[in-house]
Amino acid sequence: MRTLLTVAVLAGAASADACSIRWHFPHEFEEARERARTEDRILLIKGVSFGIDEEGATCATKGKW
Amino acid sequence: MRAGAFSDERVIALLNRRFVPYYFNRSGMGEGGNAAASRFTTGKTKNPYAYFAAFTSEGKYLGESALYATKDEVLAWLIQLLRDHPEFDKPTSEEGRAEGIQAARVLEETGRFEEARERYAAIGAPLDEARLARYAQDWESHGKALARIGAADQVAAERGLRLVAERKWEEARALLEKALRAHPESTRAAEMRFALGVACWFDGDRDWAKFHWMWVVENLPGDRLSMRCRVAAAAEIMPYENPELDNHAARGNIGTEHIVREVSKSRAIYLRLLPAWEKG
Repeated sequence: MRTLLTVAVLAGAASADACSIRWHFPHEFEEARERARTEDRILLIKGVSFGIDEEGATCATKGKW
Repeated sequence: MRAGAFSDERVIALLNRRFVPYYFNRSGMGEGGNAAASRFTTGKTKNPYAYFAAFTSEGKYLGESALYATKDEVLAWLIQLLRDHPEFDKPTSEEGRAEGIQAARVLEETGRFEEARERYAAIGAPLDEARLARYAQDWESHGKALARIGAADQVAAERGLRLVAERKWEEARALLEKALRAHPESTRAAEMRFALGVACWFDGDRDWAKFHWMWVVENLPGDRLSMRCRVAAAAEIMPYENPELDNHAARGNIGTEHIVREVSKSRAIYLRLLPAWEKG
């Protein structure tokens, strides 16, 4: 929707609403913290307890976490 | 949460506008661990194992949502966080310069829904107005706004979502099925499919519910609602309450392999019903 990352991704005849949260990945903690500091934003942390697989560690919308 | 709040368009927009979201694995098993993030959070959260928690960049704990909070509860918590901490709710310079529809977008995407709705109405943006009327379940305004929209798939999607919200399952099924056949290219296809699945579920037709949810999983894996559809397709075995299905939950603890197996069963239903759907 709107000003978000709304991308029409063609999948056959249908299109996806691919707007998604712009997560910082697990290896980017310091970058996330620095961004929160410089942009005066709250840092939201999703701590996962059941493990993350390889795909989930590099893509927030795929894989397991 | 990936199937609930993190798939919700309002939550997605607000997180991207006003927060810095980060995730990591704090269990020590598998991928995605981060020692610095562990040190930053350990001992601060109420739930030490899994959480969605807010912090300042210096490490001050500001609160956390309930672990299985619904999308509405997470949205309300995020908005309240900003109201309690206005120092983190300042507009960017670009937002400060926004006018017209862009200014209304900023209001909407920072959780100021009533103000945004008034702006949309004033500048003549009926689809946006309809969406916000639907959030408020103000069906009179919703209907009036839809009457001014030209895009048929958007009107059908909005009407279908209203019928589902009103629990008019048969009407919702008829309208959404017709809309999906008439507008297969719609960017709201997944939204309509998910809602159609919900209507089928409560109409006592769980196989067709699974068909529509699995259609999204199979055909639109990049859609924001793909994970929600996947979890719904496994609803008959999931032990966690699903707020989209009147908090339906199965009994007992399960492992990941059980969910994978249940999704596979739903996929088999999808493949069995696909010819019937394509035949029309």
